[in-house]
Amino acid sequence: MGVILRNLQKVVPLRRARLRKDVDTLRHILGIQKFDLGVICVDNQRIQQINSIYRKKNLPTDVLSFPFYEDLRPGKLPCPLHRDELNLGDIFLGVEFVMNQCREESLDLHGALTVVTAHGICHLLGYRHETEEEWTEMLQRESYILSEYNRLTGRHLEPLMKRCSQDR
Amino acid sequence: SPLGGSCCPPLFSHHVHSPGSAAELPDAALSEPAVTRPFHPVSVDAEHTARYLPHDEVYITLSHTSSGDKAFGDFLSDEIKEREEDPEKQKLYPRIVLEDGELEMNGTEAKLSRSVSGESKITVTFNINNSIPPNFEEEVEQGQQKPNTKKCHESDIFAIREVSFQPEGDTEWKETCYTLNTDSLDWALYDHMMDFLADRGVDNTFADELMELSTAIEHQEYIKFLEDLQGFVKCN
Repeated sequence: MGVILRNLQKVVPLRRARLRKDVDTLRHILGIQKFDLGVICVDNQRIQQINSIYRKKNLPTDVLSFPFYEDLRPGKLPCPLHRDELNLGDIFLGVEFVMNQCREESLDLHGALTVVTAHGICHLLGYRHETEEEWTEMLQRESYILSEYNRLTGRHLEPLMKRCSQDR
Repeated sequence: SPLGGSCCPPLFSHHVHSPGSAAELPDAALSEPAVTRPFHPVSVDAEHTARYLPHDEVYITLSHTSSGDKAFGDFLSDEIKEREEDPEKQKLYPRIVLEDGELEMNGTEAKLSRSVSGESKITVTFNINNSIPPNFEEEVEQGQQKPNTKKCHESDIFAIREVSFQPEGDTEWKETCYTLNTDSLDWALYDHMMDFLADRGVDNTFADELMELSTAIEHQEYIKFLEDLQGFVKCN
């Protein structure tokens, strides 16, 4: 299996191959290649709907993660007994939200999507940012992932955590 | 189906042995243990014959009607009137933004073509016959549920199913040309193909507009069909 990519929106022109390659790079850095992952690209309307249902926040956002394993210790990879459980979960990317952010901050869309996906994958691996301590831990992890990504690709991405200091 | 290819069912018979009449039984029966079984009546139709359903469609053809059916005719008039006044009809051939594009109709087959960057030509052909309506599912989730919110089934708006190199100019799809089925395709390759199509204007937006166009054509064909049927039923 691998990464299941779905594009359910028509607002943002996506480069699927580029997004898939970046996600594969992140998986390689984290050593999670054997796990399946779902990446679903949605527009503001859809992400707002999901945010409202699952987090009671009636606003669009950049990413929502749905972990397969709900109680992982941050960064501890699951040890599944069955092949059916080789699954980390699903990440919904609010691509329209991210695109609007990129326009405001003059950022490259696909670079921003990579950062947001890294953040989302961290959530699937048990990282949270509810407390100060958790926030620091997650920021460290994201920084490591993206510095490795930058080293491998020659790009210059920064963690999402730096830009937001509160839960979205 | 219990009817398919079966012969007449075997007739069941029960021998009830009673110890008192052992002397009357044939020799073979004497060597068998005397077993008393409860008797289950089985009704067997003496004229039982197997019935077979035709495997394929059954066609019924009517050359003309000699007597009109008023109720049917009136129903059709109402139906046509209702459809004519349907606001959907006003959206005849909704505008599809095509650079140098054109639409050709051959009965129920529509062909949209446009040139890409002045060089190659991209053609999208579809038949509105047997079109499948989109599957809308009401999302039932915990927490807040919005009334009147319908969600499409979670799948890509459009997907590539098969890819093949076909001889240029031929209108029929040749089954002898190697056809790649995307079910078992490398996903990276699939994404490259989707990007390739998107660069040429075939993306989710286009798929959406295509559905609108297809709906409008289907609607128009349906009204024409009702009118033809009305004429036929009135009887000539």
